[in-house]
Amino acid sequence: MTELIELSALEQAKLIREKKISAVELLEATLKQVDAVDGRPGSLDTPVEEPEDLEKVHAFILLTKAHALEKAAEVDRKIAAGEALGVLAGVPYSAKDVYCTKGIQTTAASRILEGWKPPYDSTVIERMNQAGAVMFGKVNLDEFTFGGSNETTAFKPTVRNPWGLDRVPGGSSGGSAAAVSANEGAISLGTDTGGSIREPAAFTGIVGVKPTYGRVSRYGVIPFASSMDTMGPLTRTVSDAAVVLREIAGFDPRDNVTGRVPVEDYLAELEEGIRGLRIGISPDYLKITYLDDDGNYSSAAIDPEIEKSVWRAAEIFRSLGAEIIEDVPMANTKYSVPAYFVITRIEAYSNLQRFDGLKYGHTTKEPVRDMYELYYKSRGEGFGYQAKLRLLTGMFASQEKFYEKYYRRAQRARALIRRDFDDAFDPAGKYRLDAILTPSTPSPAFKFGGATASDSLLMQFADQFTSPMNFAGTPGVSFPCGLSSEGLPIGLQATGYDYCESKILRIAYAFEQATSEEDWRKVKPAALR
Amino acid sequence: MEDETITIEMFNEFVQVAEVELTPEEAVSIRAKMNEQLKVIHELEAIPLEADLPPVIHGNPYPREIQAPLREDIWTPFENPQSIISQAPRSQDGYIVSPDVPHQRLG
Repeated sequence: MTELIELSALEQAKLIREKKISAVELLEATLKQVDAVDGRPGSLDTPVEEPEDLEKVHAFILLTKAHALEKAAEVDRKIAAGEALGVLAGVPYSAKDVYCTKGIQTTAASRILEGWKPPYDSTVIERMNQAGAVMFGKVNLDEFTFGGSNETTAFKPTVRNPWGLDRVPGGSSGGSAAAVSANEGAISLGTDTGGSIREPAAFTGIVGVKPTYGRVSRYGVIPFASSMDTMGPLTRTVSDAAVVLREIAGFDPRDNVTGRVPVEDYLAELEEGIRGLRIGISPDYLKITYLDDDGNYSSAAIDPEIEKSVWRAAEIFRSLGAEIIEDVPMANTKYSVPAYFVITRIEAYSNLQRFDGLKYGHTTKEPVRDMYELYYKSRGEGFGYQAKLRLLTGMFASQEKFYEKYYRRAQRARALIRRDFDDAFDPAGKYRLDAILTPSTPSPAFKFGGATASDSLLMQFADQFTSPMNFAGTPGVSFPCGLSSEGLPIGLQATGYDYCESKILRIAYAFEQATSEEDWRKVKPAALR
Repeated sequence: MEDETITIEMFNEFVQVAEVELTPEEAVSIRAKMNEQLKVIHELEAIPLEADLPPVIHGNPYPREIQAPLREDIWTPFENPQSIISQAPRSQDGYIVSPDVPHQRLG
């Protein structure tokens, strides 16, 4: 029998609305699951991971049990009184700890924000409240979202992948992905600046949506690189992702890059199917391209099991009436790594300057001569290694004398990368695509320490298939498509044009429906067996 | 490819301007890592860019018809300023308390 915690958010909401279960009952079942699989929460006071920590998921930094019980009880009261309910009324969810939550600790997984309780909610949290969802915890991430494995968090133990506890969950929304994968809530909110929703979703066998830049408000979310930051859901089903996106998307006067573009009913439109959609496959997304030591572009093959998954999915889509267009050139993809590197470091440097040890968060306990020494020591104590590295690299690259050579050139490269997408999706062009199908990652989840291993290109370039969409501003959804021979999840990505989330969700949903009875879908993550 | 090694002197200046204290071990490691990463930054030079290709500040266009209208310049007080002040490590009488701010000669 399927347990409550295994149900989708929409199924959970339906049971609550029909009074078959209470919101408090569902919340308690969810908290019980956290208690069973998660182990001790991430903490600044845990310098050493104990052997027992290696057997747990550790998705959470903070559980907000009292706050959540109050919210769930309010949902139950409204149901009893026959009052109007939001579509996600009573559904427990978690949020990556970069979403500001009024009166609730928000850390960005960094010591520099130790103890900070924001005086306001982010817009996305407000909209989840309006939908009636119940936030029950804040989940771990790479410090300030700087990473793709969760290893840079200051809050230990590090999040572990429920499918293989010796594997990373991906990042930076690794806590979100691990929590949803381990049935610790059906929904988690993540952020994606270069693949930080899609990569962990792929590594943990769930669905993750990076919306169009400007589709979801950034207000109240601690920034990484403001010209590419996007917010979106991680869920176990495409329908859940569609409904959450519908609830959180839309214009926000407090974030002036949100567009005044109507929000489609992504959930209802899932049923429209994919007949007639033109889905492209690009050879540039079936290999890793990099500059070798001689300064020449070289290529490395992606994991063959992953490439096979792309072609299998293409056959399924063809059988459902979609048209598969092969050999779509996306030749500028290979330039995304250096351009991404420069722009994100410079923007991160700018964004990190607000943390000073004076206004909020960590401050040094050491005696200081003046305010500058307070900054110097507080930031030295508060920032982790990766934050310091990115801060200093960003500072180096943003020097006025390098403006033309680095930042401006990277912004011009961004225009070049965008051109690939404009050409592929141009309705009057040669390809006239509705979506492009790519692997989400070049390999399944790697072992801890793998991303820094110098001989592992696939791990170093784990975001080569996701960061171009952050450059282009276009949406992408990662959806699970099977398991590797090692039993690790594989994710595929459908990416579309600006504000075309509905089409890519339809594609992911079509795949989900067509493969719903396949054996791999019955396999549970190792942490749940 | 231009050689632009970050020297110890340059690095120490960055650290001062960035106002972030490093341990001796961090300083050695981060400077080495930055010099390694220069290779990635220099990959920008290998990108063939047409002379008239303009820079973009974000990827997708943001035409006027979807932009937010300019808001009126009206001051709106925050509902609870004390909730902001109370987050400061040191505050007094509704003000954030800072150590002395030394005068610096600009130039």
